[in-house]
Amino acid sequence: MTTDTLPAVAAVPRTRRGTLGAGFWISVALIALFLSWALFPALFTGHDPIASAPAQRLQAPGAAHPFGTDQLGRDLYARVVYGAGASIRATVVAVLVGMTAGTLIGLVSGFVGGWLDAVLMRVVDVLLAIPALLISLTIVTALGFGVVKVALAVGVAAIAGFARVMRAEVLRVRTSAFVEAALACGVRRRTIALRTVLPHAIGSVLVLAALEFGTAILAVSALSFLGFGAVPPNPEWGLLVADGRTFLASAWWLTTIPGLVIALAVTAANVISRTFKDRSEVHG
Amino acid sequence: MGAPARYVAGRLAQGAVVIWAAFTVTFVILYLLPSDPVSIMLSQGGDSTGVSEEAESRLRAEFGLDQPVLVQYATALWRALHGDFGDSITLGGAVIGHILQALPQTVLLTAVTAVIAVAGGVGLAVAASATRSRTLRRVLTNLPSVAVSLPSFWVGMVLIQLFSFRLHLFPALGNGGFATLVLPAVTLAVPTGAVVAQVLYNNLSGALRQAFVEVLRAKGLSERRILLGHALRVAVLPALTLVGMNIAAMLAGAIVIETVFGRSGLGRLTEAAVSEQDIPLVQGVVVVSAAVFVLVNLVVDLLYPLVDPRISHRATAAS
Amino acid sequence: MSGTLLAVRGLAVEYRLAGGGTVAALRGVDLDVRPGEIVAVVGESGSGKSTLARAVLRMLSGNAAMTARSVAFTPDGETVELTGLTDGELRARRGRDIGWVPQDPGVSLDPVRRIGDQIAEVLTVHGLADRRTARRRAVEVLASVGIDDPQGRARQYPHQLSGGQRQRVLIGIAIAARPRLIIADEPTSALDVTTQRTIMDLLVEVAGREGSSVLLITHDLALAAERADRVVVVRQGEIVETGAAAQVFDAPGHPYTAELVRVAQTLEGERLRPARAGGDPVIGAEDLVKTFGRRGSRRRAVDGVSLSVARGTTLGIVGESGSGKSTTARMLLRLERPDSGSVELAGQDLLRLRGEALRQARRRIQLVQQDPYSSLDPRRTVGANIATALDAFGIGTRAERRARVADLVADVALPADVVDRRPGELSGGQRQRVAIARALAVGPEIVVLDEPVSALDVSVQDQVLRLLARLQEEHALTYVFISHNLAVVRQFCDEVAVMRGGRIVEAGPAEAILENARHPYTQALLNAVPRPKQEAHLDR
Repeated sequence: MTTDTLPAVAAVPRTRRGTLGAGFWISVALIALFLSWALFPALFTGHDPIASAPAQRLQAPGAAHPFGTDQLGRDLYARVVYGAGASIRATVVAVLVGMTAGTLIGLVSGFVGGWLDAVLMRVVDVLLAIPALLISLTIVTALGFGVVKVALAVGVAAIAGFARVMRAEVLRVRTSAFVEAALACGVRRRTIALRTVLPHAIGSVLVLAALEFGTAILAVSALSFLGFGAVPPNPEWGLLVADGRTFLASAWWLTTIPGLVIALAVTAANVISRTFKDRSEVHG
Repeated sequence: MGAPARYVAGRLAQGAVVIWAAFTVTFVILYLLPSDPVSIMLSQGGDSTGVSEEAESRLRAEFGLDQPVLVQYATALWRALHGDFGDSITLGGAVIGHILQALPQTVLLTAVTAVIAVAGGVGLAVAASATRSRTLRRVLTNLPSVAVSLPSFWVGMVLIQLFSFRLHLFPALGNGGFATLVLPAVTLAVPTGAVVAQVLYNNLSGALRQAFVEVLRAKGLSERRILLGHALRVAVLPALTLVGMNIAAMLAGAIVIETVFGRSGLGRLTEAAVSEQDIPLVQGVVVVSAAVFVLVNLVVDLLYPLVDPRISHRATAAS
Repeated sequence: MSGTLLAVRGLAVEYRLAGGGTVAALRGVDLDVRPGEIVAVVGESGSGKSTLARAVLRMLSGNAAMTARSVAFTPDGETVELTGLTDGELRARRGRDIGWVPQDPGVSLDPVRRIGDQIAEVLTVHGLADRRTARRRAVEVLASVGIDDPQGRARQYPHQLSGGQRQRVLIGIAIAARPRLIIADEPTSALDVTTQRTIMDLLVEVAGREGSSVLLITHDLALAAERADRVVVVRQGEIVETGAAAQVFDAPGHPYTAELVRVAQTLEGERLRPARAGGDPVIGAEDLVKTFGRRGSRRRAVDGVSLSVARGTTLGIVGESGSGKSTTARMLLRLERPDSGSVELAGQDLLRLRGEALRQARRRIQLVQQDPYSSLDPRRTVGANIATALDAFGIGTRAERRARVADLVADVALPADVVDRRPGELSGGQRQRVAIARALAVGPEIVVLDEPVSALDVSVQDQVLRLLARLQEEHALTYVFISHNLAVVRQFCDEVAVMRGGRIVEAGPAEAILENARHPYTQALLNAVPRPKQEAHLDR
């Protein structure tokens, strides 16, 4: 508003740029933990996630079983740790599919412009108008069930969002004064696209990727919860919650704990995304 | 034709395009993906062996799948225009009949959800903007980002555990009356309410930083009066739009929520259709959802000028 | 009249930085405003003048800490110590005893409330009138600030009014409760030049009618000298000079004030270099037309502009924002494609060139943009930014390019070590020098300067203009100089074209046009530039 408040405004970036909050580091630690669960589950638990032990069925969380046991006596902690494999892998695949395809479409659309841009963006608009869950379910109907197919379905549903963000960024950077200056200097369009526009535009895509990581965990687990993803007895986070439904009244931990783990993973991804966003806004 | 009428006509045409596009997208996914609809239909139930080639070709002919793709598409589109999405494979009978039967329950759920989401979201945002306590504001502004991170099926179960099994306040399952509507509507309202709160809070903060607020302060208005009497009205519009945009997401959310709470409705129908890979039914559900989405947003659009005098449909009709 | 309406003693404001530490915005400020007096606080952006205005009303942002020995306010014979009031008590003074006129009328009214209600609210909130009386009074106020059809306007919304009308409404809000003091924070700087004068007239007239004092905050010393009784010059949070307006302007006691006076007098001041007559034209445009917008809301941004610039001279294109001057410049550079018309550069039609031929043509004509904060790629070093065109055309070896960049840096009088720094570490003036060096890198014949100094502080503007004048001599450059500032154009250009609504309304040699403008619009522009006159002060 007024130029006189400049010192205060100008000072904000310095602090935001400086140290990152505890929330960010806790989130990074959580995501790292879940990734390690997915890659090396055996390092984190000695229990078998699948073999049943009827003698120990439906035990509440305690010293022997920190997360309790299920109706077949299986250690819930072990099932959550091993379940990360299916959940996280599906999530990573989904984000990669959505990001790669979406970024490419957005870059082409924003740079080529004209009728191609118009057509691509109309398609993107329609895909954005249909809820992601419905798109994913339609794809699952066509492809069939299973973790990989669910991951693809969730990824395809995310393409439109990435395309939209990438295009908006390309357009924003393209019309910025320094890109115009490069053009006036006689720099080739292709060089501008790759050396000037892309590095400036990619930040927002990464912010969205972190956010989409959380969304994808939710979507994958919801589809598994509905029974379209992992097949029992293999553990998967959404499926664990669904399995616990039958014992909702007697064994609260069977639904509550896996659900909490999902919520933690999503929150962590969101916090990381927001931190990136704040920082990139300061830079940009 | 007057300007408002022309505007509504224009919006209806746009809406028709969205519905058509939804139809086309689902057609492409369901009928053109490498998977073969007929074998999916035959295999539903899990047993695909022992189907005679004769039965398969009969089915192909029945669904017109032996025709060229464009002919299939044109035929299906023509039928859909007349509300005919074919017959459900698993349930028998016209798809549209099943959908129309299930729709009222879900529309009711969505309406109650929207009310709860707006009330909660606006309340949270206003409280966060009004409080002088930094700690309370921090808690209130962080609440929405936690809320959108919660899996809705899990929230539903936690609510059932608390309010049905522990406190015996609301029934856990079923469609019987208003009491059964409360828990599912609250569950479904969590993500939308959170987004409304987030957007409205940001808009309010933005509005409070605008230059006109400084003039209001210079006029001698109290902070409360500036917030409730001026900033809220400026900030609320995008939040309202958001509720309209989120109607479709609520319909989709109903798929999970109705399953959790054992309610019948469009969501439950969708879940069943997907698990049986009932292609015509799935397509019908998506297209009808798109239609509901278009309708609700048209209504929200028509309400705009009441809230914001800067928007007149005479002006927006051109753009 | 005797006594003091507002007496500020020892005012200091500090802004707390989020990372710890503070920045002092004001230090030890003493200020007096007597009844019926107009006091102007003059300073450049960042000087603390707006902070001073806000501190009186205690309307500082949350991270500001204010201390003062005393802020004594005497509206009706009884002195109130403003620093001793609670927030609620001070609020009761705002709007009622002290009115406020903001800087930018475009964003200073509640967009979703009716005009009349916004004026009436001042009265109702202080319990000065009931709703109906307040509404009626609002219509009277609208009439008194020169709004036509006040009855009808009262029911309209801000977006239905022009910028000048909105500022009239805001003046109405400020005076509705008949306050003794009106604080006006750059009340005309966001308006078109042609409206600036009438709004300033209105403010002075209204204050005179009500017998109110005015604390006028402005960056424009000429404006202050023309309108105020006394002038207070602020620099870096401290008052460097206070005195009667004529005295401060005619005999400045502080070197900084002298500098401001020199800049303010440019309409009568010396040219930066002698004017030149034209040789052969190097660039010309014929009948350029550019339309923006889609069907239904098409707007002709540029409507049949023809011009030609002789080698080694400077053509100034003057106009207000929206006049089409920047679009014209962009078409000369082929950054914008005209709908019709032609641009001839060294015998080639620039509009017919495509691909590589167009790229090669860009070596002849380069650009310096308005805002040096966004025109440099923040991710690349200053050296890399300057070398943009050298890299693009693959000129020289890597070592040769480095040497060329070093020469350019010296040429624009920057220290050699800026080469490895990022643009973010430089000041605005330094960045603009970098942008100039970038434009000169490939040795162009023509440089288009799009408002090259208007984003810079006045003291820096002069240095950059002198640099541009020197470079023009040394490199035999031809300039196309886009500006809204007639004073700068007069100082700098040989030929002038005045644009309005997409057309050139008057063109010719700079001296001739500025001495005897024939087109009424040019005359209005010239009249809008404040000219301090001895007589004006004697009137008061």
